[in-house]
Amino acid sequence: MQVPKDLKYTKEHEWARIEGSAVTIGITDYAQDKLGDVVFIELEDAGTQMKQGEKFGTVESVKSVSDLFAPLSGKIREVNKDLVDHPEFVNKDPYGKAWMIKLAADALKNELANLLDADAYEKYCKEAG
Amino acid sequence: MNYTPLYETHKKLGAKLMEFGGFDMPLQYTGIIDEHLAVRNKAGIFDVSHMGEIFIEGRDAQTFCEWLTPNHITALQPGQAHYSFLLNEGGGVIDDLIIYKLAENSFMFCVNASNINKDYQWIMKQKQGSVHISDRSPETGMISVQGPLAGTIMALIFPSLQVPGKTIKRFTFSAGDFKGRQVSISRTGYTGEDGYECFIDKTLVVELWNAVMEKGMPYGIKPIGLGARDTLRAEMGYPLYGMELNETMTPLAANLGWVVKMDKKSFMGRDALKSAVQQGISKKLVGIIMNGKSIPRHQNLVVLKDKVIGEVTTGTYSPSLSRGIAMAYIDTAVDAAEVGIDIRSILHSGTVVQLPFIKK
Repeated sequence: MQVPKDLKYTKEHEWARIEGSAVTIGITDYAQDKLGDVVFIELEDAGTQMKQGEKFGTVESVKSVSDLFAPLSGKIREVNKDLVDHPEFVNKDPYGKAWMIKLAADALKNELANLLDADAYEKYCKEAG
Repeated sequence: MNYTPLYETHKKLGAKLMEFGGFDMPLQYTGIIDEHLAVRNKAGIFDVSHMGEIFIEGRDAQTFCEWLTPNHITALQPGQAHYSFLLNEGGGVIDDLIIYKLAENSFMFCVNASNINKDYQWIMKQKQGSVHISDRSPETGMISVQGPLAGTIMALIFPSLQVPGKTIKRFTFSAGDFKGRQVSISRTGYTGEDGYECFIDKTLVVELWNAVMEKGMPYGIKPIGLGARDTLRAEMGYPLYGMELNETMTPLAANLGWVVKMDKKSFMGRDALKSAVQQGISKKLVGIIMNGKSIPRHQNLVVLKDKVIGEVTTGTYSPSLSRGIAMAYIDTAVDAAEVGIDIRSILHSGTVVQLPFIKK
């Protein structure tokens, strides 16, 4: 299981790459492995204002449907349209080509403490099994 | 939780496991799509040891089975099998099953894992005449080998399958020898491909599995989990008990009227089915292929012109069509080429098709 050190994580298995106020979001290697073959992705549109923990989309594997939750609050600046056409990227490259949305975080200072660092997330997954 | 003899084998193969019918079973090994396509294009091996085997034997076994089930038991010769049901008085489906005629007055019912106990209790309750009923599920293992290369691989293990005059046709079975023990090899399956199902003593299941894997390796055989088993049967429009079939619905709406032989004078559930036919069947089972990328799921509503006309029983992604597909019960009167499916409160259009989704 890959857990890049430079990212922040949620217990719902999203990752966030934070560069200033620009945040790129996707789901983790652990999540893609649990889901199996991802075949459908639905994302909120660019321009949508998200609150931390709010649903920003849906990911479906052959067998299951899962909601996606925003790790941080902010306006969605960009949506990965390529991913919508190629949901299999989630299985192949969860931290790269399978980024889902980019948002402009607007409450980073207050919210950052709610996210897990790589070590804490890895420990959390191992306990979950 | 119950375990099949292959539980450790599945773990060694890296399977993701899930609970099904009270058993810890493989959901997938490499991935549902990969496994699905292996069965469609080459061959796959399934552990179906969780399925139940109930034997009905004795002087009156044939008479009893003819009354207990709706298909023509008297039409079966030893070595032949057919699809049938256990029906209740209301014509509802207690279980769907394959009945094997082993010999005169000797039958094996192959039933769904989740229904073994229910079926056994039901059969015991209905028992008539001189019959002996035994549930031999715990000591019986079952392996299914499916796909266009299944026959080639099976013949390497059971050379008798190739002997002219001894080859088994669809829905027939014969005895094979494996390590000096008898195996019943049946040309049946749940995938729409050519295939074989082997009933074998549970102590030999692992060895048979390993033999099939070894002989099948050069042909690209893969172990297949329940995930692909479900997508394979869904593409063929085959019903799954608990989804398309249950105790409150008759088989008539599920396009399975051909199993129910109304010309038989009497069988359990016949009166109810007869009046159901007279009153008219209100629902019909159809296939729906989604026009866009969305995937329908179990219990999504089917909508036509703002009116709910039915409900999805099976909804999944079809690896062969690369589309979402659904089996749904809709109002019989509806004759629409396109319908909407309510997926997370948004209507997605789909095209109504005759089952199966893919023609074999």
